[in-house]
Order: sequence, then C-alpha cells, then structure tokens
Amino acid sequence: MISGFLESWPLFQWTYLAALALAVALSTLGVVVVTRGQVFIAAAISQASLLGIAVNLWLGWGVPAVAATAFSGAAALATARRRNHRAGVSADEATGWLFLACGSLAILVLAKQPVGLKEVQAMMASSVLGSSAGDAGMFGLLALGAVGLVLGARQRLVLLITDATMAAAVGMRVGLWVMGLALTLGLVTGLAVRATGLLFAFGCLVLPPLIAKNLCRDVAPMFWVAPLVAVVSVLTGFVLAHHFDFPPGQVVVAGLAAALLAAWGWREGREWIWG
Amino acid sequence: MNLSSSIRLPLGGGVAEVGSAARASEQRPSGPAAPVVAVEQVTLGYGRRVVLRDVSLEIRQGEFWCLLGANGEGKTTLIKALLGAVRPIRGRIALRGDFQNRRRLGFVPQETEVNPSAPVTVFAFVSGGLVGLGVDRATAERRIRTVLDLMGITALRDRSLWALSGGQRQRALVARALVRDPLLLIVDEPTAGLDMAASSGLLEIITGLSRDKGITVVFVTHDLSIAAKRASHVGLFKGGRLVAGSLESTFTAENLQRTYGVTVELGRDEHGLMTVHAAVGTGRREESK
Repeated sequence: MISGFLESWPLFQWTYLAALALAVALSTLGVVVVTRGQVFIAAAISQASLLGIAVNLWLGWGVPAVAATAFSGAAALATARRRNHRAGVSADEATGWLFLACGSLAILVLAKQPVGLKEVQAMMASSVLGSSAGDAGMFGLLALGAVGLVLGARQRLVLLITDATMAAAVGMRVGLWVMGLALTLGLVTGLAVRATGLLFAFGCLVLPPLIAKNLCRDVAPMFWVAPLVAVVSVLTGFVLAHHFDFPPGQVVVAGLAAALLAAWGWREGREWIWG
Repeated sequence: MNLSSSIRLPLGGGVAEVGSAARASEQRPSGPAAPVVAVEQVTLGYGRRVVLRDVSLEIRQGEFWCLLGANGEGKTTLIKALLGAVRPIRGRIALRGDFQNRRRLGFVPQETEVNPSAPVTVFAFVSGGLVGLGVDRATAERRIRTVLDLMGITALRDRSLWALSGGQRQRALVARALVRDPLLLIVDEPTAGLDMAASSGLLEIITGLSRDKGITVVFVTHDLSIAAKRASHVGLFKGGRLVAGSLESTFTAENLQRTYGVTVELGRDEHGLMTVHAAVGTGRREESK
C-alpha cells in the first residue's frame, strides 16, 4: 500500500506537499479558533472565501486567490471583535447570517451563468489534486509563518486566546493581536479554500485542534499536537485514497472525523477512570 | 489635580503617564504623595452607550479602595479602563510611570474568561500571569511555587482548572495576579458566589497583602461590610456618576442611601470598626454580611 503511494510521488508531489503544508498552517491557526470557541466563525469564514471565488467567476476578474482571501479576510475582521452584548446583534447571530448568506449567494450569483457553477460546487465538495509547485511553496511559507508565530509568541498567544482581559491587563495590545490573527486566518483560509476546496480546508482547520484538545491537558501543547495530527492524517489519508482509489480530501477529513470520535471516547474514558 | 505640567498627553482619550509627576513629588519634602492612578474627567461606555460620565479619581500607594454600587453602574467598566481593556471616550487615565508597562499590576477578575471547554491546568493558568515579564524558567517556577503555596493550592497544581471548586478557582485567579509581584492589585468581586469560609480566607489574604506589603488594592464588591472593615477609601457608583474619597468622608449613610436607594445605618463595634445595618423595604433591619 505504502509502496504504491510512493510510486505516485513524482506525479503528485506538489499536491502532497501543498496539502501537508496547508494542514500544518490550518491546524496551527485552528488551535486559536477552537480554543476561543469559534468553530462556527471558521465555517463562516470558509463560506465567505467560497463566495469570493464565485463573485470572481461571475465578474470575470481572473484573480480567484485574491477574491477568496479578500472575502474571507473581511469576514474574519467582521467577526473578530464582535461580542455577545446584552442587546443588539450578537456574535452568534452575525456569524450565522454570514455563513448562510455567503453559502447561498455563492451558488445564486452563478446559477444563471454559463460557466462557474460546477466549479463552485466542486469546491464545496473539495479536491486537493492539481496543486502546482508555486502553491506548495506558498503554503510552505504560510506553514513556516504559523509555526514561527507559535515559536516566537506562544505564551502571549495562549494568554490572548484564553483570557483577553488578562492579556490586556498585562499590557498586550489585544485589539491589534485580534485583528492580526483575524487577517491571518482570513488569508490562510481563503487561499486554502481556493486551492483545496471547502471541505478539506475547514476539516484541517478545526478537526486536528479538536482532537488535540481532547488529548492535551493544556492549551500550549495543542500547538504541537494539532499539526502533528494533521500531518499524520493527511499522509494516512493519501495512502488509503491512493490504494482504494477514493478522493483524497474526503478520505483525510473522514479519517480526522473518526479520530475525533476516538479522542472523545479517550477523554470520556480517562475522566471515568481517573476522574 | 495638578499633574498637567508633567503628564505626557495622548491625542484624544487614553492612558497617560504620570511618571515625571511621581518623581517630582518624591523630591518634594511635604504634601500628598503622587497618585499611582489618576482618572481625570473620564467618560466610559461601549459603542454609543455611555456607562460612566466625567469620572475623576486619584489612588495613592498603599491605599485600599472599595468600589461600591448596584449592578450595571459601571464598576467593572472602570476597572477594565484602568487595565486598558476599555478606552475612554473622553478624558484621561494616568498610570504612574512604573505601571506604564503593567509589569507590577495584578488583576483578579470576578471569574475566569477562559473558554470552559479549553484544557487548562492550574499550573499553566497561573503561569499565564508571567506573560510580558521576561523571567527565566527557574524564576518562573519559583514564583509560581511561592504563590501556589501562599494561596494554599500547591496540591492542585496539576489538576484541571475546571475540576476545582469555586473557592479553589478564585484562589487560582488571585495566584495568577500575585505571580506578577504586583504593586497595584485590581480585584473584581472575588468573593461573589463563595461560601463564608472561602470568602473570609480570600479576604484575609488580600487584606494582608495590602497591610503587610503596602500593595495598593482596588476592590470591587457589593458587600458594604467589606468596605466598612477593610477599605481606606471608597468609590460609590450611581447613575453614571462616581462619588469617591476616604472612608470617613465618603462612606456615609446619606451617600449609601443615594447609591443603593435603601436606608443604611452605620455604627461602630467594640474594636472601633465600622458596622453596617441596612433597613430593607419593610423597615426590617439587617446587618450586612
């Protein structure tokens, strides 16, 4: 099984490398999303990037990556500072609106167009095949940036995402950090959705951190466990997909979903046995 | 307040520095010490909703301030502004120079803001208080051990924060603030929801820090007896306004009635400490907790 996968390496090497680099970048940023309890926001941002791609096709701009990141960046910024106030539009309401509006508009703007609709529908289903050397290089840089951020500012990052008021109290510029993280999330998600589709991008963004959350006793080690889980899952998924001739993106996400079930079981069992 | 000649003024509302004012006052042989915190004509709110209007306050080294008022009157908003988490709409909050980078400022919130589904051990939670101090691993370990000992939660250091009782979690919150070795400790209703023993233990620790180490304390509470017995100064919040001053001049029956809308009787116990009795609605007299 593994030798068959290795034989396919020369043909799909850039796809494999791009997917691995994206898995590292997305799962590292996903720790921020999951720890702050913003899984739904991540879904809305992913949908926004899909709308960006649809609008790009509709208007014939010819810059899908720019459109995807612009829309996801705007969605990330729109949801970044919104809190659940006692009155007015809550964060959940705004996120829900964004998710549904972007999801429906992405289809509607192309419904009467001769081209594009199938492309958007394929992106919703996800396909990781077809990445170029340029994609792999760009996603490699994003992965290095994400890992560099964690290496350089892990303690600050952990405090910010677990307790923003305390972070402000110790002198961190919380507003700038939150905006910076939102823009980074929008950028990476937008590029990931453009390259691999909604399912793979969203799956790698939230599932590895959710698995890590159930395996770790603190937030800090989640920043290492989540990318590790993502890399192992992507490699395993690709080997299985190649062997059984299944679409690789779906196999990776299904594997991660199964691993999350196992992690929930592990956590429940651990609490039941040790309290 | 005569700080205007030495304060570094920001453009618009914000936090300024009174470091030069503090140094200047240290050279003066007499007169009141420079404030650690000076709040000047500050208006605070969220969006278009104004919570506090034209509030002024001066807090000096070693003072124990209690901020009192009904729910929603702006106590927590003011301390969030002191912490830099809420920016003034108008006016200025000036921190003494040595607090500008907030290295010696500790904050104890009413409850932790940590997402309850996030995994956090007590040790990791307390170590969050060291962010920005640049201490090495050995110093960090020593400081954490010291504050866990002080708060009596050393045995819980590897436990999940969510497995602790309310009182133990409050102690972890205080430990996280104390690990910064603060000169100014801002405390937001730490005894809310605690039983009498846990509440009393926590209050003793905080009062002891103020008394023995000269730490300046800003303490938000609903409990008038805490103010009566432990505060040197009080701030009373009502209708977006603040009445602030020493305990003797400000903690009066008239001011308390204006703040809470009920008749309050003040007295003295056998040790000379102030006692509080609130006559609630029907005229029944109740001693405050």
